[in-house]
Amino acid sequence: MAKDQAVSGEGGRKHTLSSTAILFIFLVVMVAAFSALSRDFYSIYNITSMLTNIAFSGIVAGTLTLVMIMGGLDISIGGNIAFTSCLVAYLYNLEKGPATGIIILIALLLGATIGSFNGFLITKLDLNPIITTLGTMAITRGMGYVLTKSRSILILENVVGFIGRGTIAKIPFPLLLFILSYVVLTILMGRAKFGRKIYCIGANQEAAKLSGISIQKIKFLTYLISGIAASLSGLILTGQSAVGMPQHATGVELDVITAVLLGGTSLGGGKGSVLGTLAGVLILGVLYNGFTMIGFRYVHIRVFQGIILILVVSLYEVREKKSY
Amino acid sequence: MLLEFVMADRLLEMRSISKRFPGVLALDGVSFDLEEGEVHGLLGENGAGKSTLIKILAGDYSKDEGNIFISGRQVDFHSPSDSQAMGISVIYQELNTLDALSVAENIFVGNLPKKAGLGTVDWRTLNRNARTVLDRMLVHINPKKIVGDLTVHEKQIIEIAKAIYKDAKILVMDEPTAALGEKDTVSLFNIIRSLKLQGVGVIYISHRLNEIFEITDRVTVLRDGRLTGTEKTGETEKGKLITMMVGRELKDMYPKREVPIGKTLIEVKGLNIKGIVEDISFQVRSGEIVGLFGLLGSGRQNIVRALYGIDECESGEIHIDSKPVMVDTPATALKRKMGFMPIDRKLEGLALTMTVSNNITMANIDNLGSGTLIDREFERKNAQKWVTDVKIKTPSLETDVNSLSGGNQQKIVLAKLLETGSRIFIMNEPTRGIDVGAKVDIYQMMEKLCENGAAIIMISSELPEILAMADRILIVSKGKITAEFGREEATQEKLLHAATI
Amino acid sequence: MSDTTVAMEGEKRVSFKEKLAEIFVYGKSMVPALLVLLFILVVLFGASTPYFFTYTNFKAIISNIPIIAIMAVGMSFVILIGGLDISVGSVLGFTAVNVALFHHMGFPAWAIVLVCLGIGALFGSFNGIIVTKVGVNPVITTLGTMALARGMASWFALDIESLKLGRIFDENFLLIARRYFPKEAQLIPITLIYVIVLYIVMSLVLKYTRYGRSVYAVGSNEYAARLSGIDTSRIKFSAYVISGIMASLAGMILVAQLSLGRDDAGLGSELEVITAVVLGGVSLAGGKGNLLGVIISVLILGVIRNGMVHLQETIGISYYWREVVKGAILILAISIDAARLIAVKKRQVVRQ
Repeated sequence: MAKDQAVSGEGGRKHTLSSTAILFIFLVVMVAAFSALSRDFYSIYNITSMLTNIAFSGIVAGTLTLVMIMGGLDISIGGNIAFTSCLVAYLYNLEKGPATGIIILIALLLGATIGSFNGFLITKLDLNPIITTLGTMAITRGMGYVLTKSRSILILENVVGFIGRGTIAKIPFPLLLFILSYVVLTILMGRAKFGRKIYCIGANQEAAKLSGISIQKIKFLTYLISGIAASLSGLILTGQSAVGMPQHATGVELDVITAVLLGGTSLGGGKGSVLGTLAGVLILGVLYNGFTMIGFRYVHIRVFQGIILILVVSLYEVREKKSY
Repeated sequence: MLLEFVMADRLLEMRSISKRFPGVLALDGVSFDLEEGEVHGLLGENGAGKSTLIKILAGDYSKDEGNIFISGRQVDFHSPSDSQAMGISVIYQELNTLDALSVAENIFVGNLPKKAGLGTVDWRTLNRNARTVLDRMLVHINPKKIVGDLTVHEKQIIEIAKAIYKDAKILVMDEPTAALGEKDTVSLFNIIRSLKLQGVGVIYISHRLNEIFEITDRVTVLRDGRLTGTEKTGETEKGKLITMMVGRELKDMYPKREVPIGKTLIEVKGLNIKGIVEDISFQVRSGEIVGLFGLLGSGRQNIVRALYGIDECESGEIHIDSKPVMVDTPATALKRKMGFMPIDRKLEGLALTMTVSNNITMANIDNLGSGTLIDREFERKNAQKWVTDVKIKTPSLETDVNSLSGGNQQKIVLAKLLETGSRIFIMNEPTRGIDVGAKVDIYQMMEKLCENGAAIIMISSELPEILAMADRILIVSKGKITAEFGREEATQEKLLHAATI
Repeated sequence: MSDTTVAMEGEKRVSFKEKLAEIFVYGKSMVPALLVLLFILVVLFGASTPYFFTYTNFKAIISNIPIIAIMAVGMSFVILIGGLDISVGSVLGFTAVNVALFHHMGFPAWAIVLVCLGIGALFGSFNGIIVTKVGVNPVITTLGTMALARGMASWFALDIESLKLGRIFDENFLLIARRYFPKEAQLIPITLIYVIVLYIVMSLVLKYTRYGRSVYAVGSNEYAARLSGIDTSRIKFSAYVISGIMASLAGMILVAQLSLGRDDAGLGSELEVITAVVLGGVSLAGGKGNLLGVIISVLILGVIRNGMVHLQETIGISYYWREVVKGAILILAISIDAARLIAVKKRQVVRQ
């Protein structure tokens, strides 16, 4: 029962359960296909590095699911990640800079600030989430440029590096964070009061308001969480790449939004599930990795991204219309 | 022979129209006709079938049985444009104007005159034509003004002008005076009279009986989807019409209402919303049902929305259990054990894509368990309790609310309030659009609530309902409480009379 | 007897503050406020450096504006009908690359122009179909197209790069953006003339053609517009096509200006375009606004961009604050837009 609820997302119909299952089946099929097509695909090295790459954007995809179920959008995650990484690198390289632990805290605080900024504008001023987060994206990425004067800042081995490249019991740390975050988010959306409220707001904001649910508070918190998750991802990325630069995470919005939509969450409407996003994230990760293994280049993959997004959304849209 | 020929050319004839919806027969063999140059009033309570009949005429709904003739020709509408093409124009209460455009553009939207050669909009001709149309109606509005800046009545005039331009022969007006003041109503009637002279037939839907007597030539009364009768306005009187509207003798539908009334549970003092409602004061005691009766546009909606914290008010006090409280949001209201049943359950009361169980617990999520997580078993038990108590017919707790009937959906909204432990209930048209069986259930629930000491504020436009259920009835008119009737002394005539002053 | 109109009249006395708010916030047009803002900016920047009011600087400001200005026209149409198009920058980039490609293949200038317009129309149509026929949210749709176009631009550029032929040498083509009037004095660049003509023509279309009025009708109340017989799908579709063509037009001009067709052309320009349009008074809600405000906003943004370069030299404010400023202005613009909408809504409260 619990898995049912979590997957169908409390507000979903039966078909959401089966679509998530279909997604996971598709995932397995894809893995099999790529393994057959490329020697290097099905190796421990590739799988772990693929998963680790997925981890970085996967965490943000999870929190973005919350935002989108509620009917909002957060395009600022890319800028958030970039700014975080620049700030971290900058602070680390200061002569009498703060301790590494403090730096990590500051990073998360930065994410919280950005998230709060978004939340404030969208709830208190009731601004359009898409345009607002577009603006925040420019502001945060811009701050990254200001801080670094458009140069990259290197970071040597340290705790941040551990976040990005360390392992615990042979499992890469980012992957652990990824798994942990999805566990938390699944429980949050499937069983927690907060998650239920998010579904209610997405399903019918007016009814939720009349039922005493504090729309402003929930929305604000959701954007806050999204902001913190983005800066966490920024930490991971900085650790992985050992560099802080304002060009980080350009285009990550596309990956993340595609993953969420692929997973069955529709833009507003209170339907969707974190598990679906997980499937979406994995499928896209495998897809891109697989394509790279076969020989496609980054630019080709960019094109596929666009096609996949439009295709996926169109298919879901057509299916919605049919079920009426 | 000759007589038949003349009869066949009636402007509009609807014969034995029937229309069924899942679970309810909205229209049962209703016949209605309209002559040229006639204003024909359409009366009936909410749910009597008026809007269904009009929607069929407008091409929004299809009829299941019956025929429609326009000037003798049988017609079949498949869409609103079919109906419009036959010269039928409907002006709904919620006007459909294009507020960003000018008056002239609204009148001629989709058909702006072109200049020869370039094909650009010929503004001069457009404005001139607009002026002509408006002159025909004997009104003076600058055709260049932006519609968004006009008053409600002026917007109405624009919609009428649009209909006239489209050469409407049949004009339907749905509660046109609901948002109008005295002066504007007079102006509207003058326009209608000039339309009459031009041979346009007007179907005039309104609850305001004195208006019916002032402007209509004939009046048709519907009740429970059937035609009660058609009278010549000059040959009938208010009392007869009221009897035709409400003459239901279903006394058994309503519970006995012998509940002892206790102390004052909620008191409202001096509620003011600038320009909307003024100095609203009343109290409701435990076990009591206070009804708010009034016409559309009287301000009842504004009052209860302010009470529940949805809308703001300039001043006013609310006392619950003799203690002053601040209700600034629905959350605060619920905390004070005040619950609200909205007028539109689909838009404001339910999340249609969520389950029965989730909807019932929506207002009480924080209490579904002690920690951050929801106790599933607890939720299920609670939901099941209400499904049983309130007699909600559903295949299971996990069914989507979307697939239930209107009556059951309304019961779920009620269950939601019960789940929060509300003692004060604001019910906004609680039985609107639901079948008789469900209505009876809801009345019984209300009685039970009163037996347990609840206080209920009920807005209802259904006279028998409010007369049977309310212990006291407050008449709201033009933003003020103008009268109060106790259960014993209240009659349909008295209420309607007081409300239509 | 109290009328409903009483609800909307309120008090008779109107304070000066309210009058100001009336003009600048609640008012029909943003133009007065924008002109004031422009004036203030010019004065401020002019005071900060002697180089601001020079002819060279004027040319510098003017040279950057056409690209944004042209795309802003297309974006205005899309926002007027209540949609959004974030793919414009990428379509620009894709067009730029294709100019280089077709130039490399030896196409004459006029053919290249046609091909470019075709590209813009193609992407615009694609967006239009997905939004109107399939019914996908415009933001998501154009997000996908954005990736598609940018991806394809980079893809093609890979090949061109390898042939080292991003450069354009065709004189005829370059002249598209490089002529000056009058020929001898070299005063006014032709791109400025393009912009002025485009804005005038499009303003006339919006104001004086049935099509233009239908655009406003659809944006104002799509349901009512459809009821009145307007083909709302066609109108919406056309807006996206116009946006696409404007983007490719801008791409062409950019390449002609720089004589270089790179795949990162127009990167991030969507932000500035949307900012210009919303700041210019075209409401995100649709159906409101005109191009006069938009062109002034484009000017304002151009002046700011230019001014910040000067500021870096004089006061030392890093030029990199530019992105931050852009984002802040966008948020400011939509805040003003939201405030105006609320003001309008407040006036329409009615007794029920």
